[in-house]
Amino acid sequence: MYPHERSLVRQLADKPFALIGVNSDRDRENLKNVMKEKNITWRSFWNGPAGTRGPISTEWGVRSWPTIYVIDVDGKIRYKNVRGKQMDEAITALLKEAGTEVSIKHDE
Amino acid sequence: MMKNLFMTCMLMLTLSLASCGKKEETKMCKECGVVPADERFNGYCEKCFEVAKMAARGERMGAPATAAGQNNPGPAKSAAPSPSNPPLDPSKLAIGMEVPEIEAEDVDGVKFKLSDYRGKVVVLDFWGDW
Repeated sequence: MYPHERSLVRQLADKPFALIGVNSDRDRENLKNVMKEKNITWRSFWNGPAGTRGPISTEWGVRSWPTIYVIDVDGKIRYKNVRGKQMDEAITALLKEAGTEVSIKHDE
Repeated sequence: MMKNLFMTCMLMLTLSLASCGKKEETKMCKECGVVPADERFNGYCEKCFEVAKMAARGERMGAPATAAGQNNPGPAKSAAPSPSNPPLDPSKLAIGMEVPEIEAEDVDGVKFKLSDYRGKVVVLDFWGDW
């Protein structure tokens, strides 16, 4: 997961793209260390000390992790739970709709 | 939450009226006003005492408490503390729907909104390092 996501974030840094997490680790201080160690460079909401029972995942009815939503430039939900190549294709298609051609290739 | 509390309070009131019939001598909870206060709970009923305790600890953000001895349950509802937004209807999370807003702190404690990223393709990833 992390290498793929890191690769996306790096390749699409100058494109209208963002990877936003909703993190459900209970211990925020430990999480900061984990993010540093594992080079998790993208921003995350923190779901609070209740972990997977925190307010955001509860509101969204998330019961499995990871749960992924892909959202277009107009703020519409367009894909759910796409991973790997499928995620790349979803992002490529939505960027193309918004007038940005990209070719995603991973080398990690 | 408050609705449940209210129902519980009403049920307890009904039961207490049925069992002793001495309502006029009973001091009511200073929060909900419909359940007899309990000395152990500082003039509150047990439920309201728990709610007030949590509010004092800042665990839940609610509207300001209503006046003491309030007998009308209506305004009391406005004091309902809510731990988070209620669960979204799953239809709001269907493909093609406008994504619901998220406003919360990031890992460093800085508040931000999902809509700050409008105009970008966003991958929203519910994750945990476990």
